[in-house]
Amino acid sequence: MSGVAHQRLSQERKQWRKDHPFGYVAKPKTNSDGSVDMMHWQCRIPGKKGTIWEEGLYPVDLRFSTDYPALPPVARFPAGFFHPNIYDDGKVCLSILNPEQSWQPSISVKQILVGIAELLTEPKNSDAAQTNAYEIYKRKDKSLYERKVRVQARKYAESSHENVKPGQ
Amino acid sequence: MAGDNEDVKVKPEGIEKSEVISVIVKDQSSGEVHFKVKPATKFAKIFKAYADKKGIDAASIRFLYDGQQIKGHETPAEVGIEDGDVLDCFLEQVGGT
Repeated sequence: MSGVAHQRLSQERKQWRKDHPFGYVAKPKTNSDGSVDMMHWQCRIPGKKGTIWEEGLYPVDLRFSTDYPALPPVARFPAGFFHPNIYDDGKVCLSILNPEQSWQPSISVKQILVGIAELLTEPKNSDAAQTNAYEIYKRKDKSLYERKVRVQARKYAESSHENVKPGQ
Repeated sequence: MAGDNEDVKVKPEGIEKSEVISVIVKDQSSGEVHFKVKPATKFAKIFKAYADKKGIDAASIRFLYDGQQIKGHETPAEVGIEDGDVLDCFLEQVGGT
């Protein structure tokens, strides 16, 4: 089967369990029958503290192909995610996820997620992926841009708040 | 509150080494506490040991593993935690309600 990809992803998962950036989640999807889909990871990226993104815990799906790690995974937020460099369908436009740009087989899942987190707070002016957020960002309508990001952050704070009960 | 890396034994001595796993709890400021526990130790005990170590209220902390909050009645074995796994510890923030 997808021997190399599978092996590498098991390794990535093992490393992640021992060491991951605080508050991040990255795990292979568990199917309804209890089996694990190693090629499809469900991740969460916390918004950077002290920024307009901070309230949110943003869901990102990573889909790996059998050609991984020769080819990068496809990273996707939910469709309609508000960010200049994210396509309408949620796909992330980032150089380290592009095999014709900066993707290297040595790039870890951790590096991918940290890279995406950086993209959230530091959009690239050169790579418009959706017109909605890009137009607002480009014309420097700062208050509208920030308001939209904060509304979105609050929306994605909800899922994290399910967990906000004190330990007993 | 001396160093960031501290070993805390939740279970008394005299248990088989193979029965003990290491669980690492990290907090926001990347401080780490290492626990040596049995896979069947209830987390309530670990919460308390952690809170005592940090001088905080056990009710104000929550441990997350893979984004899921761990409950006091659960054990590492039940949650699927293995030797050396890292948990994230969040401090409850209480707003002015």
